[in-house]
Amino acid sequence: MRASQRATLFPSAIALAGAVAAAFIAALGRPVEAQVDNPPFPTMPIDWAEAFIRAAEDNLEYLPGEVVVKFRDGTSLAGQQQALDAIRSRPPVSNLQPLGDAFLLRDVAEWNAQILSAQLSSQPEVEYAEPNYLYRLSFTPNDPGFAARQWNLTALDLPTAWDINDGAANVTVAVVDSGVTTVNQTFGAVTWEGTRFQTFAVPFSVSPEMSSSRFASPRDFVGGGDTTVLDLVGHGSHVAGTIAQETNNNLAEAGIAYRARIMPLKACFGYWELQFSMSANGRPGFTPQGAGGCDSASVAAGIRYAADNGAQVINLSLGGPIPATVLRDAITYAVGRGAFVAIAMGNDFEAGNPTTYPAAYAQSIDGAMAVGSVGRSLRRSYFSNTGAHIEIAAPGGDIRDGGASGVVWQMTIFPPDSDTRTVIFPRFDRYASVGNQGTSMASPHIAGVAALIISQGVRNPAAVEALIKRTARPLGTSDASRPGWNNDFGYGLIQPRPALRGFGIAK
Amino acid sequence: MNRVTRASLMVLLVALLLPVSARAQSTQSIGVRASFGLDFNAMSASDSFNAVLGSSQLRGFGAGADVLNVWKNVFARVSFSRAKKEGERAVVFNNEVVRIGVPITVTYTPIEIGGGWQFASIGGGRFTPYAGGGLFRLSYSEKSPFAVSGEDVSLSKAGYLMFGGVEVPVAKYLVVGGEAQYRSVSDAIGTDGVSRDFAEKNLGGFTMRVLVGFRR
Repeated sequence: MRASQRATLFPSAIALAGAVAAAFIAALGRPVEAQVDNPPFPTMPIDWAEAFIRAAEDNLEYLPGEVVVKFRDGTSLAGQQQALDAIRSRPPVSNLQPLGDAFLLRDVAEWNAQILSAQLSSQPEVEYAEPNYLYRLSFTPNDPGFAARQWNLTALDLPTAWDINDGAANVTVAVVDSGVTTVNQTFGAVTWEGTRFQTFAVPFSVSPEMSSSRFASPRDFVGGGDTTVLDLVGHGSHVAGTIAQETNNNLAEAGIAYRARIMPLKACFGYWELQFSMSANGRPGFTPQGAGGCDSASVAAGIRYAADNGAQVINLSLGGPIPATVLRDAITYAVGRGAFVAIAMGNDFEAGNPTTYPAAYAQSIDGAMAVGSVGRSLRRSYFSNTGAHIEIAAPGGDIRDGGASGVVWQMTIFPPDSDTRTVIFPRFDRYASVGNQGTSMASPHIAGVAALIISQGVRNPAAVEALIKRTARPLGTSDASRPGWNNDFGYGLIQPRPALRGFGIAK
Repeated sequence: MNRVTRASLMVLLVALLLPVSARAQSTQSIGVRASFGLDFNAMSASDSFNAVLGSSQLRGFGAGADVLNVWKNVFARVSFSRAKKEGERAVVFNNEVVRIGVPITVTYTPIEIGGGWQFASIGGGRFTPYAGGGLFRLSYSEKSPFAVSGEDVSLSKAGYLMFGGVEVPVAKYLVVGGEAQYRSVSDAIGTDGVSRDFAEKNLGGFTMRVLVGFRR
């Protein structure tokens, strides 16, 4: 399933590979010929890949030719067709792809999705129509380093929280992101090597810090709804690591809800998915750097799927500056189904601090929280967006506050293996501790703690939000009009232990 | 003024009016009544106690001594009791209580100092009513496993009480009795915990006390 709107993952990811990095670099750049029996890499549809590439080339905030449309309640098929007839190509109703209570429409005759959505919005049968917006990954490269790693968990006093709840067993957390690799498998992929196409073997592995037995109902919304999920970006693996990385196993780092199940939902992708799709379909050349992202329709589909398949927590480390009603409706639906939703505030404070979505929706949805980031000194991270909709803060790292030791370290795919600037034949089967910063990193802290809270028996998402707010540690000066809250940190820094302890009569 | 307070005031008022019509026992010598008591406390903060302990009632044991006929039928009292109950810490949202499996032990220990008036016996001399009031110091604690510094509660607050009861002699020195008390410890709770959710601030309540004592 796909969505129409452009969304951006929010990890100012700082590819700071640790000491292990050096050992892996020697293996870079050598293509491995594909084995005959390697299954083909599950590429995305070529027309969709082309839409993403065109969006990247033209710097569009939406996927060309795609709109999300929702008809008013009770609109008949004839009424829907009447509305669609307002578009020049007059697409049949059968072209609509269901997307919750809305539909995704792809119109090859009109690539300007803003025109399409305007035409549809003017029809009386249409409640809303909007482009399939894109939210992009926003990595911020940084100097490599290696330091004391998980200041972020210490800052939240998690070891004492785990005395109360050891890892949120029986809670499922959905990670709507770039995926978390769920198989140990090698695929045969085609790519452009500069002068010709070449088929080569692309190995994937499950993270050694994420037992495959802990995956629940994975789904790839980019590659056609398959249950095999592959992370070719590293963002989803990092986020999932913060939430639930294996803990107490003498390896790498810890995760917050380390006994929770992870539901990997791939709704975002990057350079390599597009490159493989283009090459497999005979399109020579290289994909533009920075292409990819998360379209709002896929994200919405992932959110709804998570809610329908038992996820009690959903993490959205993504966003963009344009509102997407389809996302708001999906989040509302998920909360109504009993899922708590954590959403990154965005990393654009120094780029005008725009209001970002879907984070801005959280304020009006009890059970969804917009999450800002703090650095090691518990000051607002320089990149962390502020605004009236911020609700809570968590460690997201800040390279200016402690350097490499001030970012969030988790295990993810080894970045140099798939560096789009230097690698032609990538691999995704090796993992390393990587330091990232971003509200993408802060949001999974909230998701992980929410999982612990739910494991304690507090299952109402609105109650989880209320508990997190009430037990937060205020940071900064309280706003005069909203006691205990301010524009930078919301209600303050999340405090797992007080939330997990609940309350006695007096305290 | 809640229902419990009104009922307690009525008991006290009736008790204080009784001497007017009753025959004063002005010639009694000073005596002592020492007793053990079983308390049934119905807490004013009923929603809060119910949320955490599964009941708004605390059962306690205590002991005390009354010095009788200090002046006419006036008696002075010192007593204490202790109630202890285990429950689970809870989260309250929209008046819905979720108990989260973290054990909690609540102890409730009032030490009372007061006095009252002992009325003329009624019922053919078998029943001796009395009424009074006083102050008390309440020691209240909440303890949970794995608590770190500052997490458990241990507070001490002053309050007042009113009581009225009846004493029945069953042997030469042995008496039994029943007593109703109203205690108030205002603003002891309500700023945190589930009491904040329920806007309950008083750690007092209505107590029924069953006494067994020695008198001479």
